[in-house]
Amino acid sequence: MGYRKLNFALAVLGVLVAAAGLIAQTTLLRAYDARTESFIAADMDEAVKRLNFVQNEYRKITLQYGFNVRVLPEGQSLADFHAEGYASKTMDQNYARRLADSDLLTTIRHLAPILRQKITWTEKKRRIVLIGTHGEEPLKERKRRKKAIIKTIPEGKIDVGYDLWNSLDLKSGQSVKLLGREFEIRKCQTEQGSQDDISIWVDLKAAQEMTDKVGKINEIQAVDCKCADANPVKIRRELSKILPGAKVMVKTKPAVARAAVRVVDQQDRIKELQARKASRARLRRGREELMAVTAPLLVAGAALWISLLALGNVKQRTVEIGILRAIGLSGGKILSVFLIRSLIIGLVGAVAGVILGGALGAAVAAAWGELTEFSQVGALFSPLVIALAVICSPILSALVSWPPSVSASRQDPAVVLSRE
Amino acid sequence: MLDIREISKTYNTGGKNVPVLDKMSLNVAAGQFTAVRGPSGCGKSTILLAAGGLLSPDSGQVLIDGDDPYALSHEARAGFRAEHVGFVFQQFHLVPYLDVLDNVLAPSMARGSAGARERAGELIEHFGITDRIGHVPGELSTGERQRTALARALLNRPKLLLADEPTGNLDTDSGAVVLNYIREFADSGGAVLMVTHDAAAAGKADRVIELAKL
Repeated sequence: MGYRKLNFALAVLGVLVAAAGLIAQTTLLRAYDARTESFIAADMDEAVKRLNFVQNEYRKITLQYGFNVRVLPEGQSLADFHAEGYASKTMDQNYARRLADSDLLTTIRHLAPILRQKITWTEKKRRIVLIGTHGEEPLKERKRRKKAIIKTIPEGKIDVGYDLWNSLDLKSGQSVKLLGREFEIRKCQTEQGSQDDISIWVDLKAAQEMTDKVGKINEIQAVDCKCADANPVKIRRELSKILPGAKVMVKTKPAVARAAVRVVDQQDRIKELQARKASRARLRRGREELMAVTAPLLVAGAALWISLLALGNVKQRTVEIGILRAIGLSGGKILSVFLIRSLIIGLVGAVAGVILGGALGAAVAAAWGELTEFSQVGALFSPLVIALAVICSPILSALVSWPPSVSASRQDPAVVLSRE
Repeated sequence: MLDIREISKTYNTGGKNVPVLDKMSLNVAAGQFTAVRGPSGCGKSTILLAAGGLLSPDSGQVLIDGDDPYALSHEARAGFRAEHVGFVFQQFHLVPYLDVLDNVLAPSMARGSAGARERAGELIEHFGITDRIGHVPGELSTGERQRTALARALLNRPKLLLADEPTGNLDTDSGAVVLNYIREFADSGGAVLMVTHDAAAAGKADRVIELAKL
């Protein structure tokens, strides 16, 4: 009697361990998912909201201040450019036209080809910056055309920087010679406090001829780009598609730069969250893989255990079975008795395993910090997994107990009674 | 009631044929208590098993109430046994985890339970073990166990009772009580075939058959 109870208890324990192991693992996985969903999703929502906000702020600021862009020739050393104040390399003048005609260009609204070079104004014995321009290239897309803000210098005229006219006592309307050419001063510039104060603006063609760079420019200026969607990255990307290899310098107000940094920060924050989510997904896959190994082992172990115990039970109850057969119980009845016992073992073990495994899983999840609120416990349990455990355990238990049970049902009572 | 006609049985033990019964015939009529005695290995238990439809003889025929149980399938023969034959064993062979009532009711699992509970109650009362009704075999005296086994054997109102050394494990007084009940069964019209070594037990029978070893 003691053996029978012990055998039953050990069989139930086998099912319990397997069911508890499976339920605990699925509970932990669900806790992990819930935790991932709760804190990463919440943080992600917050980050996306924040990104939308800073992007909106950024749009407002870029619309207010805009960008100034300089496109320099391919291969231009930026160190030389900053040291000299102009590009030593040149590019074809039609690059500006190509840029203006491009369908890809969406952010830029004012575009002008420039030839800028330091020269000696031999007639005045002064080092000056000669700036040749013919004003803005008309953009192909009419709706983006705005009133020109980059000046055009008529042929035979020059604009003179503050320091030059002030120190040389030059006046508007006065004729001056520049590198052997006769020019009329159109305008004397106000003081800028920059290189502009020692600059002279001339018609682009004249500047090209005077510097022996006919058809060449060394800079394209895009000024006051105020598109709400514009940002340095987008502008660079657009320009590099049209003029591969060209150097692009984007200048903006500090407020725009700060806003851009805030956008990038927030984008980085989202990337970081995505990386964390991906990392947790990888960890989850690891746990799933572990479960894919342990689950069959648990089930196979439990099946073997129950099978051995069922065999032991039948062997131990040989006489009892023989007597019951002798007094008229059919083989089917004996079989059903043993199978019902197996079903009960499976059911009791599964229910206990579900309870224990669920509690264990929740406790471990809490210890690992995956479960932070008691109210979340209900969400950790999968009704499908629980139903499968409770339904499949008795079936599996009966299946593995089938051979010993059939052997019991086929016992010859005469053999048993003769032996006794 | 029980008609055994020229049955023979040979066992194969370790590759060697050991004949136990050779064209043995025996008839037990309704209301008759027959005892079979003989030395160990003479075939007493084989007769009992063959008579109970548990061991098919190599030749010959066994008829119980005119029917040959060996003409039936295994499952049908089990039902036939449940309906016609009661068994009592020296070792009692009660189910250890069932109490007296459930042990007595065990044969009803084979034949259905209509009226079985009342019948079991009557038998338990008749055999004087009512106060032990909720006890498991381990808590009973040997006499009480055998009376419980007897009650179980009679639950389905069999016409034939087969007893294998029913007093072998009992003291004299308990043995006498059990034999009286068996006698009572025969007197009420049942057929009894008892195998025993005990001369005193055999003395309760109407007829004693002495078997010699082949």
